[in-house]
Amino acid sequence: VRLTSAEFGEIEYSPDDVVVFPEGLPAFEDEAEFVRLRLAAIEPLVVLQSRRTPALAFLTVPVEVLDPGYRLRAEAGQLQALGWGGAAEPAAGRDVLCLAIVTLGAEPTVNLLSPLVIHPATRLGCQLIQVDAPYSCRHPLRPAAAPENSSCC
Amino acid sequence: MLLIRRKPGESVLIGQEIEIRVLETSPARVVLGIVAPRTIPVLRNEVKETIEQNREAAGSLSPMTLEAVSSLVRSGFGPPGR
Repeated sequence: VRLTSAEFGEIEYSPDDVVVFPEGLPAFEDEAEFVRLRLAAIEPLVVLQSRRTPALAFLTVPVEVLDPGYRLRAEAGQLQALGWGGAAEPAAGRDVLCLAIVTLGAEPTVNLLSPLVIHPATRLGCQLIQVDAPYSCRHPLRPAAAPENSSCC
Repeated sequence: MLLIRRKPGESVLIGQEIEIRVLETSPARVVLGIVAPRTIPVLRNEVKETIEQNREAAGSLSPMTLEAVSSLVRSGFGPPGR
């Protein structure tokens, strides 16, 4: 199957790469279907391209790339709509796909507070706005391997 | 910013129609009860931040993105540490 993206041109994708967000995303409530693009040039980042709007795409990064100890805190029932019947805190990257949206700019940032959570089996997703989580919605985009404060000494 | 000290059970009024009541406090959190007309949206600030962040993120991509991001990834993400 093919689609055209304003940012990434003609794209060939398989139906397995389609992710459905039944409620859309905050600010984009009408956008339910996205195609997951894994482009070798930007691994481990992942692009989510809207199926119906060529000009709408999000750049995302699996949270575990930035923080291997990332804890997903869902409230009761929040993930059931995705078909997830397991623990209230599924392991990001193992039980569920957990993608944080990247905002590009002079200092790229990542929204670790409200990641996109996708159930790999049902390919249903939602943007989980966590309450009481110690994460920022403007976390600097830097891989976990980079030691903190390495530049000051 | 206006600061008002309140105890559990007390409330403040904003205009004629909005009441914010302190229901419960503990060292880590406060439970607020909000009485407001249905026409006034009441959002946790995390929701507003997510809305704004999503808009900004979607607007931050351009046809140049792929190239820019691939060089970003090759350099180990973000600018060198501050």
